[in-house]
Amino acid sequence: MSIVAFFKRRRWLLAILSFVLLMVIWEIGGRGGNPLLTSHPSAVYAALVKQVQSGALLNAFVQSLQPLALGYGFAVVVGIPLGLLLGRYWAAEAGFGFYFVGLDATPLVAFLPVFILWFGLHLTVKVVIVFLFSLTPIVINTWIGVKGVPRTLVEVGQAFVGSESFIMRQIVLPYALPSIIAGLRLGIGRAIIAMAVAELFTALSGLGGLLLKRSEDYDTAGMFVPAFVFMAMGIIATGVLVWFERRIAPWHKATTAGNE
Amino acid sequence: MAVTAEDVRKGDAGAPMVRVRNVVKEFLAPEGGLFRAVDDVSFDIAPGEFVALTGQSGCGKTTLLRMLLGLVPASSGLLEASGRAVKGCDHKRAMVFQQAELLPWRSALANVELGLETKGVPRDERRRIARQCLALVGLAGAELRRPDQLSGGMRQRVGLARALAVDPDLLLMDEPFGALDAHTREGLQDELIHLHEEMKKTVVFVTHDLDEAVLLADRVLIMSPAGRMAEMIDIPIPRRRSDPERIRATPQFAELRYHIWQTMKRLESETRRPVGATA
Repeated sequence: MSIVAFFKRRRWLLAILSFVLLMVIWEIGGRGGNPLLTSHPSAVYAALVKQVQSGALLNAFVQSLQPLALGYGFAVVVGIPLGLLLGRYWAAEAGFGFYFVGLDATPLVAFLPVFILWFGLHLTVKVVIVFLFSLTPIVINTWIGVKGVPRTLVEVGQAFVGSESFIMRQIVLPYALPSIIAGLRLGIGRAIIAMAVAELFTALSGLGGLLLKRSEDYDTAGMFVPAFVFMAMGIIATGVLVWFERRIAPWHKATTAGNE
Repeated sequence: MAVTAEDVRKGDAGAPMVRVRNVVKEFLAPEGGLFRAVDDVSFDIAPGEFVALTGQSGCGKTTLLRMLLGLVPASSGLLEASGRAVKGCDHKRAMVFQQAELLPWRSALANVELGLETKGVPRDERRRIARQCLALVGLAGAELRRPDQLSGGMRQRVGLARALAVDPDLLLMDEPFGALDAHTREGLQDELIHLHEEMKKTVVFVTHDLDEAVLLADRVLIMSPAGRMAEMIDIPIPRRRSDPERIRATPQFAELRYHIWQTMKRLESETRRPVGATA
């Protein structure tokens, strides 16, 4: 009983315990193996130190960050208003909704050769790919969130003589916020994958490029370094969004069954 | 008895607060054709009068209330409030909703400010009025609580304060106490009687609860299951009705309640008039 309460109040401790345990198992299991085929945490750590000291890791990270931030940023700025329109206006939904559902299921990787012809091999094409990968979860979640706004709440806005823009800003948008943030969370994961894909298939660069180079050199431990950076980016970005949601939508956590 | 009171009111009142003439509301039925929710309804409401609107589920009373608010237009007929035709919602009429319908991310105070924002009242003034209205419904001290931190009864009070804040001529209430437990409901009824007698607002109060209708209202309008205005019954219990428990215990109260019950029983068999078009 009390041990449950102890961990319930220190949830981060469970994450650290499970991570340490995983590392220990991996270290023991991986140590004896062929370094070409397998690796283990201390070797990965040594590779990390090497890549940090040579500047290769920071360089790759900075290179990756640019298309990631631009592509994801555009996706947020375009995706949320699109989702609001699709959710609020039946004609927009009927006329354009299916494009986004379709786009969401499209294997965009198949279009890479065409994208390269259109946008070249450098920053533009990477931004486009990140944008397209992360756009649909943001649009679709915003759209679903708006559809979930109770009609009676919109009627409250109308009853108190709110304009359409007042209802959108003061009722629809705040109500849809938790769903929008869920879309942003899904979107950031997609954006990171898209960034790696773009780096692997266009001009080799950034963290994706580093990963491929290490792997082509059969430097297995070195390959894990950028791979872990990808994971860390996803975890940190999600953490920021969760923190953001608690700050701006504390009522949501208090009124839903999830999480607790 | 009822007729006399009606005559007295007509005699001394000037222009009515609400004038409803031959109002019809038709909806497209899911199976095709038209469904007549409100059928040729006419009545007046005097300024300061408290009217309870009752009838079986689905008899069109909420639809009538929504038309009075201006949320939905009538299919035909005349609807006037405060001397002007009802065209859309305006700040002269305010609604208290069945489930309070507060914005969950706003504090009680900010919820009460909603109508003042759309009215263009400056921020400080808004705060002041909202505080006043919350105090009026007994929620001084709860200004900063969010709806999830309020009980059902408190949420309804915030909904009432939100409606009062815009200082409407006409207060429309859609079964506001229907979802509350008996104890909380009685408390709110007592306070509503008090508020009404203090503020002299005109009230239309939709309810299923006959006790509630008799206790609160000056007049009870009964709609038939066919969506027609079947009967208007005056409630000559004198104001101030400062002791609701006593009033509930009087033979007069029981008599009136029974009369309304009988009327509704008689109306049960009445069904909707078929409307022209079919699928």
